[in-house]
Amino acid sequence: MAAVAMLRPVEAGNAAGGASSAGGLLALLEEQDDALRTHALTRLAGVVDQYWAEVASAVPLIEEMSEDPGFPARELAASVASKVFFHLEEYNDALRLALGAGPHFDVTAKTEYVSTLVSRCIDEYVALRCADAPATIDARMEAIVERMFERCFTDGAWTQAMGIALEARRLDMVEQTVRRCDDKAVLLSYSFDLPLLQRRTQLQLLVCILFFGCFWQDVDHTAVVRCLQVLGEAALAAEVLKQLLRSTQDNALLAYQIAFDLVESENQHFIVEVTKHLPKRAVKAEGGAAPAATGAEEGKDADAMDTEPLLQQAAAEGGDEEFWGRVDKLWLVLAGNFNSDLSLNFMFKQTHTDVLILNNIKTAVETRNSVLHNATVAAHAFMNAGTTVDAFLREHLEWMGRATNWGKFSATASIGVVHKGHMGESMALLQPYLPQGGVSASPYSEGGALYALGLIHANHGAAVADGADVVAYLAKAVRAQGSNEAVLHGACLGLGLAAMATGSAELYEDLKNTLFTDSAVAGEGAALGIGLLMLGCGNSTEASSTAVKDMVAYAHETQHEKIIRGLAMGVALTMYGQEEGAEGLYEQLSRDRDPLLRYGAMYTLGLAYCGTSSNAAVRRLLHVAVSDVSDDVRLAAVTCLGFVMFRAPTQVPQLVTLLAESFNAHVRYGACMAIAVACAGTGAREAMDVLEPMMDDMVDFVRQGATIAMAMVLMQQSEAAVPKVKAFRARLSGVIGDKHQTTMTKMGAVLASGVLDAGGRNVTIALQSRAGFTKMASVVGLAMWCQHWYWYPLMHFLSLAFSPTLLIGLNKDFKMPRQWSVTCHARPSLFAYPKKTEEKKEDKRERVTTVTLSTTAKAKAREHRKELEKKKEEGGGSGGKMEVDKEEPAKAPMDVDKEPAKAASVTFADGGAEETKGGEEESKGESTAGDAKPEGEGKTEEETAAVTSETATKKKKEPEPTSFTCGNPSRITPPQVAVVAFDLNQRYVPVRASGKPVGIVMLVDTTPDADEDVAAVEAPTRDGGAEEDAPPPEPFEWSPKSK
Amino acid sequence: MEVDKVTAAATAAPVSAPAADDATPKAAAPITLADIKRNIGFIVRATESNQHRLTLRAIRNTTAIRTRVAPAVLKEAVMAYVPETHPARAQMLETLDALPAPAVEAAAEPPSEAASMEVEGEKEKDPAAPEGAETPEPAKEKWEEKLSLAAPEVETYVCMLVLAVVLRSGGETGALLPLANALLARVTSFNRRTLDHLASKVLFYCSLAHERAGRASDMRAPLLALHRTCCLRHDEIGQATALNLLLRQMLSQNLLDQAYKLASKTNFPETCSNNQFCRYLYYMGRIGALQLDYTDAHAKLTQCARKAPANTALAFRTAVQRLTVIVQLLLGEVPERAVFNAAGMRAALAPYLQLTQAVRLGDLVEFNAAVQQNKATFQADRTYTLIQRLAHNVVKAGLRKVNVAYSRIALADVRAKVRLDSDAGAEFICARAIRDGVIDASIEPVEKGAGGGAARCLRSREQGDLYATDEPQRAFHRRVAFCLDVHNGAVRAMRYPEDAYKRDLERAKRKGALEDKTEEELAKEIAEDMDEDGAL
Repeated sequence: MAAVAMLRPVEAGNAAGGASSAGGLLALLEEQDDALRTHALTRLAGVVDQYWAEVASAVPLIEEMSEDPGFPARELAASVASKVFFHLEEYNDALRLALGAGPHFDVTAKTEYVSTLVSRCIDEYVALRCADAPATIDARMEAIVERMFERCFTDGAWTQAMGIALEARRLDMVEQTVRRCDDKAVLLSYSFDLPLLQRRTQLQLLVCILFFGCFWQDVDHTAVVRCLQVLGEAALAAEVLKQLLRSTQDNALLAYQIAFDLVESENQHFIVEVTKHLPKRAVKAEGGAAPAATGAEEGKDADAMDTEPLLQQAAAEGGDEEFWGRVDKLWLVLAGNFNSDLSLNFMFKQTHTDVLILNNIKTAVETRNSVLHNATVAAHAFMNAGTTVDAFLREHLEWMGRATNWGKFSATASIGVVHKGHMGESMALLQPYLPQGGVSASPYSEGGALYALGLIHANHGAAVADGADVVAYLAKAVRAQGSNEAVLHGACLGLGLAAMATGSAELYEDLKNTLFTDSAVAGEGAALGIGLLMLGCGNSTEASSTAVKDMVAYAHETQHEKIIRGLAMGVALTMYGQEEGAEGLYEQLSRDRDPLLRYGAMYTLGLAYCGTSSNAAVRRLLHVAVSDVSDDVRLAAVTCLGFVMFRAPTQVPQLVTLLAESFNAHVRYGACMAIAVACAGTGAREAMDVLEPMMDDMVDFVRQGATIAMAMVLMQQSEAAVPKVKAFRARLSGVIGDKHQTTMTKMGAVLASGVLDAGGRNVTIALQSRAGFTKMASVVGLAMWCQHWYWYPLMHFLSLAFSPTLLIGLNKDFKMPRQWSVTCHARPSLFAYPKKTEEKKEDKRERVTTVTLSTTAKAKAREHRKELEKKKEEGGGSGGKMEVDKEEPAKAPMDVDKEPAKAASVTFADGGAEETKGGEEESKGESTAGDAKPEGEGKTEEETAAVTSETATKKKKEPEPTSFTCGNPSRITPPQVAVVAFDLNQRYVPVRASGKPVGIVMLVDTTPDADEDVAAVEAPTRDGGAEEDAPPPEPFEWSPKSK
Repeated sequence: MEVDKVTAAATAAPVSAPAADDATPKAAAPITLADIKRNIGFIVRATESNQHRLTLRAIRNTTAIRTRVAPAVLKEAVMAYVPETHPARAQMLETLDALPAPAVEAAAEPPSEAASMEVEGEKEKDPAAPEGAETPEPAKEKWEEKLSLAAPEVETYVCMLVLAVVLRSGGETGALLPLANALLARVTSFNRRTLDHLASKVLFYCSLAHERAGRASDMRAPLLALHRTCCLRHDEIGQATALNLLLRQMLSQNLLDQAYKLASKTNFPETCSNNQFCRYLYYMGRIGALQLDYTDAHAKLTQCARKAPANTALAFRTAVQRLTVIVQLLLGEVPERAVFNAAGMRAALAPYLQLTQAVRLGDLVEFNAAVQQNKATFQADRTYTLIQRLAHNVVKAGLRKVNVAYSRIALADVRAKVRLDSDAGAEFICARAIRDGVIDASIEPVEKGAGGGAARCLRSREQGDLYATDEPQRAFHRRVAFCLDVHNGAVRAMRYPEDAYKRDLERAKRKGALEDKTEEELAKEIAEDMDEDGAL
C-alpha cells in the first residue's frame, strides 16, 4: 500500500511535465514482491531517459535483478539497466545488457540508443570474427547482426550490407547481398574499391562475388575483368574476352579496350596466362598470316603439352572469318608488338627533347670527370627514353667514347633506354656491340649491350613473340661460362629484365650457376637477375621458394659484399606484392646481424606491401628508420615508406617531414627518395615544400637526392601550373655550371635535368595504372633505380618506371582517325610543353651559320688553316671544344627537325625545311586543334603546345582561351585528365564513354560507311629513320676519322 | 529568480560597467548589413578551414549587433541568408515585423567601451575579413560558392541573431516559443561539427525563452535528449551548454538532489569553452554549498571567480562573490575587506558586509539584526538558506575570540561575552566547539576555594610557534602549485602557429650566412691589405 501511495508523486510529476523525481519508483524496487518490482520496472522503462541520473544509483540492484533467474521481468530489468549504462556512456555494459533484453531491445527502432548500440554490436562482432583465435560469438549478438542485415535489405542499403558482410568475413551474407541486390554494378565497384582488407580475404570474397555476378547480362565487363585480374583468374578473363568478341562489333571494341587496359597494368604473368586460354586461329587457316605465326610461336613458349589441346580447341571453336579477324586483333594487342609500337610511334613523333639542355650540360661537365660523364650519358638516355632518337649519341661518338670500363658498360646500356620497347629491331640495333663468336671488342660494351637488350625487352620477354628469342639469346649468353665478368653481369641483368616475373625454373638454374661461381661482379648481376626473374612469385611456386632459400643461404655463405647486396635485393624483389606472405622472411632478415641483409629486409617489406598503405608496414619502417645502427638500413627504411604509401602521395611528405629534418644525412636522403617515389609526377606542393630546403642541405648527397626528387615531382608540370618549375630549371643549369659545387651535387643536377625532361617530355612516372593496379615493372624499376646509390649502371632502371602520357584513339582497324579530338577545359598554357631554351640558342645558331658557311665553299686545306688559326685564338683550347665545332655541321639538320617553330621563323629555304613539313604532316591530326580556334593558330601548323607558347609571346594582349582541343594522338598529362572531356558529338565516340580520356581509347565509328581519314600506326623503323637521319651508330672503338 | 536572471545576463549580455562616460554617448554607427556580413565572412572561413576559433570570433563580435541592430536590417539579413525552404522563415519575418523598430533602438544601450573596442580592434586586425562586404568581382563567384558550402552555419547564425534580438526586445515571450522551438529543431537536424558553437547559442536562447515564459520545465526532456546526442556526436560545446542549462533549471526549481546526481554522473568537457566552464563551476559550487561540502564549494567558487571574464559579466561575478563570501563564512573564515569594495559590487555586497562584520565579531544579536534587516535581499539572492546556517558560526567565532583573548575564563563569563542563554548551554557549546576543533582548549573545574562547587572554566592551550612547524612550507607549496597551474593553463591556452620553429631556424641560418659572408669578406680584405702591403 505504501508503495502505491509513493507512486503518486511520480505520476503527478509526469503529468506536470516531469518536474519531479524517480525516487519513489526506485524505492519500490527494494520491495520483495515480484509484482511490485515488475511494475516499478515497467514504469521506470518509460521514464529512464529523463531520470537516468537518479536511476544510476540503483543500477546495481537492477542489474542484479536482470541476472536473477527467478525474476520474471529479467529482460525488462536488463533493458532498463542497459539504457542507464548508455546514458552513462558505458557502451560496452549497455551492449551486454541490451543483448540480454530480448524483445525489449528493438533493432528496428530509429533512436540514438538503438543505433549506437547496434553499431557497437557490429564493431564487436567484426572484431570477434577477425580475431586470430576464433572466439565463440554470442548467439544473441549474431542475431542482432542478422536483423541488421535484414534491415539493410529492406531499406535497400546494399553497400552498407556488403560493407558489414565483407568486414565481418560473412561470405554467406556477401552471397545473399549479391543475390538480392538490384544495382549489381555499383556493388561490384564498391567491393572492389574497399581498402584495407587483408589480401587473402579479399581474394576469397571476390571469388564469391564473381561466382554470383560474373555472367550477368548488363554487367560492366571492364570491372569484371579488373576483378579477375586481381584474382589472377586468367581463364575466366579469357572467357569474358572471347564472349565479347563473339557478340557485336561494339563489344569487340570493348574487348580490345579491356585488352589494352590489361597490357597497361604491366602484369606479364597474367597476360601470358590469358593468352594461353585464348583461341588461336588454327594453322590450317592461312598459315602465312602474321597473327597465326605469333600464336604458333607463343605455343612454342608455352608447354608443348598445352599447345596440342589448345589447337584442337581452336579448331573446335569454329566461328566465322569475322570472329577470327577479331581474335587476331586481340592477339596483336596482348601478345604482339602493337602496344609498344603505338607508344613508340607516339613518342617518336611527339618528342620535344630540348637538345640544347643536353649540349649545355655536356659543355659544362666537359672535364675529365667520369662520374659526371656517366651522369650526362644517363641524363641523355632519360631525356630520349623510348623515343628511339639517338642522334645525339651518334653525333658525339668521340665524346661517348671517353667512357671507359664500367662507364662504357653504362653508356652502351643507355642505348637500351633510348630504344626502350623497340623490340622488333633490338637485335639489329645492338648488333655492333653484342658479343660475336669469340671476337671480343670490349667486355664492358658487350655486357652493356646485353643489359641494353634486357632494357629494351623489359617485362616483355614472355608475352611478346620476339621476346622469346631474346630470352633464349640472353640465356645462352649467361650459360657461356668463362666469359668476362662484365659480360656476365650484363647478361644476367638483361635476362632478368627480359624474363621478368616469369619464374622460369630453367632460367633460374642458369643464373644460379653463375651466382655460385662466387665471382663478385657476375654474382651480383646473377642475384639481381634471379630477383627479377622471380619477381613477385613469393613462395607460391616451387622454383621461387627454393630460389629464396638458396639466396638467403648463399648470402650467409659468401664473402663478397656485392653478392650479398645483390641477393638482399633479389630476395626483396621475389617478395613483391606478397603482403603477409613476406612476413616470415622479413622477420628472419630484419634480425640478421649483417646490415646488408637488414637492408634487404626493408625492401622486402616495402615491396611486399607496395601501394597498400598498410599501417603495420609503415609503423615497422618508421621504427627501423629511427632505431637501426646502420645508415644504409635506415636509408632503405625511409625510402620504402614511399613504396608502401605511393597511393596516398599527399600523405608521404607529411609522414617524412620530421625525418627530412633528421640529423642523419642518410635519413634525409631517404626522405627525398620516399617523396620522389610517392609523389613522382604529381607536382604536389607539400612535396616541394619539404624538398626545397633540402636542396640547400649541408651534405652534398642530400642535395643530390633532393634535386633528383624535385625533378621527379615536377615531371611534366608546366610553368603556368607550377611556377616553381622555372626557378628549378634555372637552378639546375646554375648548379651544373657552378665550379664550387661538389661532384655529387652536380651529378644530382645532371640526372635531375634528364628526369625533368624525360622521354621527350611525354612520359611520367606512374606506379599505378589508370585502372588502379600497381604497375609491377614501374615499381621494380624505381626500387632498382634507388640502388644506383651503390652501382651506377642501375640508374637505367628508371626507364622502366616511365609511362607515356598519351591519348590515342583507335578505330576498329587499329588506325588513328584524324578527325577525332577531345576538349580540354583549361588554359592551353597550363599543359603546354616547356619552351625551348632560348638565348643560348642564339649564339649557337651563329656558330652553326659560320660553320655552314665554312663548309659550303671552302676547300679542305683552307679549313684546316682556319682551324689552326682558331686554335691559336683560343690559346690552344681544349680538344673537346674543337670536337664540338667539328660536329656542328652534322647537327644542323637535326636542329631543324627538333625546332620547327624556330625554323619557320628563320625561313630556311633548303631541304631542311621540307623535312620539317614532312614531320608536320604526321602531327596534322593534332593541329586540327588550331583550326578550331579563333586565334588562327592553324595557319602556323605546328603542335598545339608550341603554338600556344608562341602566340602567348606574340599576342600578349589577347586573353588566353579557356579551353582547347587535343587532336589524335596527343599528350595528356595526369593532372590534365581531370579537365579533359570526350566530345560525344563527333563521328567517333569512345566505346567506353564513362572512361577517362587518356591512354588508348577504342572508338566506335557512328557512320561506318563514310570514308575514313586515318593515320596508320607504325613503329619508327631503322630503314625509315635512315632516310632522314645519319647512319646507324657505330661502336666507340672506331676512331672519328673513319667517319 | 534573481540569480538566474543574473547568470542569464552574464552570458547573454555582458553588462557594461556603469562607466562615467555613459553620459556622453559615443556616436556609435548604426548596425548595417555590412556588419552582419563581416561576421558571416568569419563563419564561412571558419567552416571552410574548420577553425572554430573564427566562429568564436564571430560570436564575440555579435554583442554589438545584437544590442543595437534594427529589425529592418535583421530582416534583410534573413531575406538574404536564410533559404526559402527554412521552415521558420516566414515566422521569423513575421516576428521581426511585429517588433517595434524605434523601441529597439531606444532600448539599445550605448555599447560598452570594451565591446566597441573589441569590435574595432577586430576590424583593424583583420583586413581580410571584408570578404563578405565589398567583394571584388572575380572573387565574388568564389565567395558565393564558399557561402553555399557554409549555408547551414550562416543560416544558424542569422537565426540566432533573430532569436537574441527578439528576446531582448522584451514583450510577450510566450508567443516566441513556437519560433524558438522551430529554430532549435532545425539546427539540431544538422550534424556538422562546424555548427556546434552556433547551435549551442541557439539552444541557449531557446532555453532562455522558455524560462522567460515561465515554462522552463518544458525544456527538461529536450535538453536531456540533446545532451545525449551531443555526447554521442562528440559535440563538446553542445554538451557543456546543455548540461549547464539543465543544472540551472534544476537549481532554480530546487531540485538539488537531481542536479547533484546529474552532475556527478556526467563529465563536463572543461576545455571547450571558458565561459561555460565558469558557469558550471558556479553551479557546482552552489550545489556543494547546499550539500554542506563547503571546502569543495569554496575551491570551485574561487576558481570560478578567477576564470570569470574580468571586465564584463558583472552580475555574474557579483553572484559568485556573494556565494563565496557566505561559503567562506560557513567555513569559519573571514573574507577580506577588499572583496566588498570591488568595483561595481559595493552596493550589491553591502548586506553581506554587514553580515560578515557580525560574524567576525561573533555578535549574535547584531547578526540576527542584520539578517532581519536584509531578509528580502537574501531571499532574492537565494542565499537565505545558507545564511541561516551561519548562526552557529557566529557563536563559534565569538568563542574563538574568547579563546584567543583569555588563557582561562569562567564559563559564566563566556556566556556573557557570547550572549548565550544559560551557563549549561555555554558549556555544551564550548564542548562541541572543542570537539569540532574550532577552538583549542579544555574545560576544567575552577580551582577549589575560589567559589561555587560546580563552576567551570575554559582553559586555552598554549599556542605553539607556528613557524616551527612545516605549516608555512605547506602553505608556500600550495601557492607555488597554484601559480604553476595558472602558468600551465595559460601556456596551454595559447595558440602556436604551425612551423614557427622553422621560421626561427631560417632566420638563424640567414644570420649565420650573413656572418659567414662577413668573415669571407674579412678574409678578402685582409688579403687585399696584404697585397697592397706587398705592392708597397
